[in-house]
Amino acid sequence: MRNRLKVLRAERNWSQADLADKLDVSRQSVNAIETGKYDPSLPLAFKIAKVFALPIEQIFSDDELAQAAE
Amino acid sequence: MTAVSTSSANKRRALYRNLMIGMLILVPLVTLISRTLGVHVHGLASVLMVSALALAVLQFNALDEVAKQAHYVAWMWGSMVVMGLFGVIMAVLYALPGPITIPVEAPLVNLFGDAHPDTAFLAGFIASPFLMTIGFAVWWAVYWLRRR
Repeated sequence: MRNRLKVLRAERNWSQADLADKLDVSRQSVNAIETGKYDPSLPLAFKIAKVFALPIEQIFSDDELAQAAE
Repeated sequence: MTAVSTSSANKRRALYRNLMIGMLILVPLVTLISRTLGVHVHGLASVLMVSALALAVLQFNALDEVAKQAHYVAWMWGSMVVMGLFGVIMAVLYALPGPITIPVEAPLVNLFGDAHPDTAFLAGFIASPFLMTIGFAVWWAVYWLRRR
């Protein structure tokens, strides 16, 4: 799964630690999600969407669909 | 940039983690002191062990989902692989002709003296979970460090 966490975070000038605190997870967890090493659960994905005030599909996208679109 | 104000969940995680580290230091320290001074501290040791168990439950429940996943994966692969290897080693040792010789036996006997058969049985009994814990720790560290 691909995500735009890094871009969205940069747009808001948030560090990984800032985002981690907003999500109530560790900074390491934010890094794992951001680098695609861990796919978040649905509740956490919804929480991320809420923090960025965006629909989930604007943050996360399927790898195969994203490749097909490219 | 927004100032970092650690969330209450992260503060709680840090507190439990530090308490666990403290407990991991305290339990062997108390044991070592009691052995050195020849004082029986079974009651205190029991309280510490039960406290550590309760703390472990609290700490695990406070972990976020990535850390919990690291624990699940480490338990499944680290512990199970080591338990399997341990079983294979024991099966091979029993299958070999002659008395069973364990490579670590001689240095252990030198260190602690000859053990009563019951103690030896108990030591063998706890060897498996001990090795599983090592397997768990190694797998957990690899999983966690790769995702930092």
